[in-house]
Amino acid sequence: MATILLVEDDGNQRLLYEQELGEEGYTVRSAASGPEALAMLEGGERPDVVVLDISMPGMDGIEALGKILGTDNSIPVILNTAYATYKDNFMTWAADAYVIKSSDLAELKAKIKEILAAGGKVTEDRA
Amino acid sequence: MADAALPRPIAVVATGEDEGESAALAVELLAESGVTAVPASSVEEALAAVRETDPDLVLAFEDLGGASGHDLVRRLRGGPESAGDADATDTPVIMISPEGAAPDLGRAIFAGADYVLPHAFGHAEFLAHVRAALRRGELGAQARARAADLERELAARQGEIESLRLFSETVLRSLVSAVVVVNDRREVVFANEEFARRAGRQDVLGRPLIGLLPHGLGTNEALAGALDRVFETREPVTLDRLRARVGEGTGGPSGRRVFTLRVSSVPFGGAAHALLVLDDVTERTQSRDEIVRERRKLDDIVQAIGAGLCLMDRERRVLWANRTFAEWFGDPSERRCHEVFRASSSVCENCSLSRAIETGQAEREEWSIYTSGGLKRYFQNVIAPILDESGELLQFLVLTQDVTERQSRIEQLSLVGELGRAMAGVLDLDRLLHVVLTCATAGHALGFNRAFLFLRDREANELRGRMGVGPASREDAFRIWAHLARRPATLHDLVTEGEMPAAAEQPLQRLVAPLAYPMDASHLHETVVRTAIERRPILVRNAAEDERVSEPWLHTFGANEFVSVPLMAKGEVNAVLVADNLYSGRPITDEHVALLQLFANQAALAIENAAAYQELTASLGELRRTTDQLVQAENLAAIGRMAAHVAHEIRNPLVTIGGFARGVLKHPENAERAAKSASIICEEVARLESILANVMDFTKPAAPVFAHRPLNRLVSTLLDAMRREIEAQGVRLKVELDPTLGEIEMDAGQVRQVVLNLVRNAVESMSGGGTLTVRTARNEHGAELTVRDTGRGIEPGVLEDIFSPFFTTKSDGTGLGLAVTQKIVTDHGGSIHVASEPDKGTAFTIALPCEQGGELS
Repeated sequence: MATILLVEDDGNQRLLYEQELGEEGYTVRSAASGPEALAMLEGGERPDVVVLDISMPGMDGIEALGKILGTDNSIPVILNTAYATYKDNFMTWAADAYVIKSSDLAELKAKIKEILAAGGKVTEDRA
Repeated sequence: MADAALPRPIAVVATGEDEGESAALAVELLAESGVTAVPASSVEEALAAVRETDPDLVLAFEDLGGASGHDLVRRLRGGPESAGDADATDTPVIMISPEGAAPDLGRAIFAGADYVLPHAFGHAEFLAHVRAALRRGELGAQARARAADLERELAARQGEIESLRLFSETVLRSLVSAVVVVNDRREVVFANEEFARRAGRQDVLGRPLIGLLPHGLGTNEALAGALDRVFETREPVTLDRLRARVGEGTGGPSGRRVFTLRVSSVPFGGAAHALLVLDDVTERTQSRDEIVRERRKLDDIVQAIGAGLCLMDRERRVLWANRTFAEWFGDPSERRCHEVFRASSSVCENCSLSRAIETGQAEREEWSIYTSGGLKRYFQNVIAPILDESGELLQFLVLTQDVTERQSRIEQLSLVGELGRAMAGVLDLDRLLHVVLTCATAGHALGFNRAFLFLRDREANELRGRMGVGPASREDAFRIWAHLARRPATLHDLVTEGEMPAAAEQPLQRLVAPLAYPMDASHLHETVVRTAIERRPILVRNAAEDERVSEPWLHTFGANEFVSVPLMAKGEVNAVLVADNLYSGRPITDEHVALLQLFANQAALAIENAAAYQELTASLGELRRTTDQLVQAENLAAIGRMAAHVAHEIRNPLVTIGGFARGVLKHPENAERAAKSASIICEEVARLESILANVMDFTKPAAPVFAHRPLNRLVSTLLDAMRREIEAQGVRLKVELDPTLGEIEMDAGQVRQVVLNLVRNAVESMSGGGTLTVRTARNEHGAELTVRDTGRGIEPGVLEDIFSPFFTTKSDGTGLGLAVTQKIVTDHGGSIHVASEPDKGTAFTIALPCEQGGELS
């Protein structure tokens, strides 16, 4: 089963994602912040996909995205955020997908599946 | 001398020796009659007795012992034998004839006796004679007494006559006039000294008049004729301007002299005589002639100068005036100074003539009148008093000059200055144009009847009729002038106090409003276009035949004479002013044109300023709108950001809540999971609630920072800064600040925000203009601030929601203004109330406490 690295500062949401994605059969590794996630990657972790929140205290998701890709360019990253406006931020185009959080996680699950099926990097049509 | 001892009557009995018996009888008879007898026996004795006793009767016997009784009688009567009249008396004498002889009556009477008795007189006869004689004596004495009285009276009268004569002689002597009285033979019967002097001799009486008069006069036909007429008719005659040559050495001026002679009839010594009074009036005549000559000369000179000249007496009555004077003021004869110059029936206050009388110096004064053409004319009077040798005022000489032109010029120049100032302050273009045209038509300096303004439209390059000022008809014009003459207003009044009449009220507006002329070569036949293109004033004297005037123009304006001047500022023509004197017909001179041009230049600058100001205002308006929009956009952007943030904040918990809830639904049998999920859900819901609370905090202002500040000053400073903005909306601002209101503890910045909000709201509600009243008042708790408008008001249903956040009736409003306002007021421990009536207006009242931490009831 694929491993998902979840980067999310909200504790209860982490629980939710762990629960839901776990029920999908994925292995979910959680980091509460960007630096934590980087530390894990530098520690040798290689998830199959990263689900990255944007609004985090300290290092936000955009910065984290840059750093993660800096560490390993090949890891697919899905930006998972409550902000609708960042879609037009060019930095986010580096990510493979941009998902707006919703309570039924449907879009997120679909994107994970898609990316994994595509075997890695997918260039999302953002149009 | 009467002997006092002897009782009267007394009789002296003169008898001789021989007559002893008769004498004794006489004495006896006399005694019986009560007459005292004084005997005398000789003439001498008798005379002595008469002298001594002054008897009432003398009895004289013919036989007087040696002398005759006749002798005695003769002596008594003062006859030739008497030695003088010393013994003369008219005492009655009875002669007694000698014995034996018959009484010689004749002789006795001749001698002077009164009665004769025979020697042998009877008693009764004797007594009768005695009585008669005494009676006669009495009468004689009475007569004597009367005569004496008469003599005394006569003497007195003569004395009076003498003194009268002396008086008249003295008077006549001292007369400067020569006085002479002649009889019908033209001989002098009386003359005074002056006459004698003129005649050159003292002995004039009795001489013929002719020879005595100065050379020329005597042979004067007129004189002869006058004398004839006076003697004939007894009516007086006066001869003027008699010329005669007076020789030297007569004691007075010599040479050719002029005389006045008055001849009248006068009784003198019982017959009619002629009284001649001759006066040398040479100097006086010369003076008079000279004065008349000089006056004529002066009149001619003055005529040439074109001034009015008149002569007035002390009572200010005009004695004489020259032609020019009469032309200006009408025939002034017999009228008084104030009647002539000021048409007043009473002496003027501060009368210059009075001053001239006082000081004896010439006085100068300037004054003005309105003529029938509605024109003001200025005059300058120079008043010169004419004094006689003793310094007493004789007459006034008044020189009047028409200084209208000069005065006009002075007034014109100062007027132009005044106009400049008047126009400079007016920035509203329409008002300014009206001022410009009013100045051109008002008063006497420019004083045109009508004035029109054509403004240049730069974009269309046309001259458009913009405004016309003046009376619409001749009748209107006269009415206005009459009004002005009665109550002349200064230009300042006309410009500043006048409300600008609505365009419709100006009938000339209709004339000019539809006109528009393109400013190109093809329209050079229109006067205003030519004026603008050639940039020079055009004076048209005969419009009908002037090629620079078009037919339609003449038809529209109807004035045969008019002037058109360009208004230029910064080298560009921005308007053309046309003026005429259609009603008064007053000719437009080159000077008028020059003055008008001068005025036009100033007006052009003012118009330029006003136009620039309008542009500036428009730009500022644009700018403000843009700024408002930017601010609005900024606000919206901020709100957008805030909303995004809020959305984000809300979404996260929603995702959590929704996710866990779905999870429970998927595995409802898993109670543990359900419980855990529910707990998480509750946690997230709580988070949501706090987020909501924070959202409200996002909109609320910061906590106030208090300090003691004067509320009135805050309000007035703010309103001063906003005044332009307020008035530009057509809103009238009324500020009523309670002077007893001092400082209150407040956050000045926030309170300013409050006032700003309320004022802005108020102004916005009065889009068609209105009145904004801002009032502060002191009450027992603190301060009260009221912002009242006369705008569209607030519907009752809406009134309760206006303080709600995000509530707004404005399409571009954020709805936060009043919410923030209320928050600030509440933070200050105050309260805010609103009252409103649709279409009437709204009033917001804020109450703020003086001190923070105090109670507000």
